[in-house]
Amino acid sequence: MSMKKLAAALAALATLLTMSPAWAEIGRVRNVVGDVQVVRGERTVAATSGFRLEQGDVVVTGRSGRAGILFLDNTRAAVGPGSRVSLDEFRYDRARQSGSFVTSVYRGSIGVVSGNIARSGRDNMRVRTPTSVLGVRGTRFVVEVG
Amino acid sequence: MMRAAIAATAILLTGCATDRVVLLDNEPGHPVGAIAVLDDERGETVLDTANTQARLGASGARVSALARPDPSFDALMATLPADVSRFDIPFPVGDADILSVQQSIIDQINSAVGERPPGVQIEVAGFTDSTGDEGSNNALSMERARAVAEALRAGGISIEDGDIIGRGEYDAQAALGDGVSDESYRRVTVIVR
Repeated sequence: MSMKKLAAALAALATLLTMSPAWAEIGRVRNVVGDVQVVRGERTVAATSGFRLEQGDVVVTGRSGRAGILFLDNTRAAVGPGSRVSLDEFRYDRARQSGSFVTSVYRGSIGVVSGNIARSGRDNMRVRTPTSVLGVRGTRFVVEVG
Repeated sequence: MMRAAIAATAILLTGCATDRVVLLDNEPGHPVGAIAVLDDERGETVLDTANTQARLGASGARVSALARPDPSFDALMATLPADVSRFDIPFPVGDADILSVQQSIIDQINSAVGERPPGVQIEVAGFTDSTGDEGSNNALSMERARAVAEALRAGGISIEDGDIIGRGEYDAQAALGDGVSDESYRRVTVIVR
């Protein structure tokens, strides 16, 4: 292995080590209106302001429920009524402020002001719908499903 | 029956015709940005003008302009949490000793915390300029962040250990290149979110 390759491998390892582990906090629910629940594996819990979200959580709002979320990379999201939104992947290097962020909107609506992850590289932030994949290149947008 | 099943399958495969993404105006003073509908077969469809939408379906994206943003967007975007509050604390060259964190900064941070709903997160991030090597800058930025965090904690502000971060010279490198002395990067930024 050349010195260059070794350096690249070490840099990749360092990035992996500083990436947040899968169970770590990725952001917090900040505003809650009406019925807002978070499905985490087998458990479903009612979300309140300050609730700490993790990768893999699914945010579910009732017919008049709405939730505002602030992520660690300063992405802001609003989940509208009657929504089901999965936070599939959130990998964020808090030192370099770069990573990848994948959300799935199964139904309902989400409004977003993108943050550091979207800025860190082309299509590092993506939003999936039942038929499509969106690459977020900034900044304010709405996705509606169903 | 068979026909109904085929029709139902077709609907499932194409998705609902009302699915869409809409690119909105950015906040004042910031560029609009863009959204791409990614499609390996047909190539990507890019929205880069405010108030344009793409209808989403299995048969591809259909782009159109909106005369005005849908009124329902206002209600949705009103649910967004307030943007983060930022407070910068400058440092001298090569130094992690703060002379003092002024009480006015502590007061401003407390007031930002008070304006937000419960469960506030306070991040304390140290930075350096791009002179010196990466390793020592990572260490210096972390020392700066710890120094500020301790001063804020002494002022009664609650900060979790995991939210004290050294960001080294990465920001300065990206903006100015290597080896540039610039006081705006010799700082700690406190983020209230």
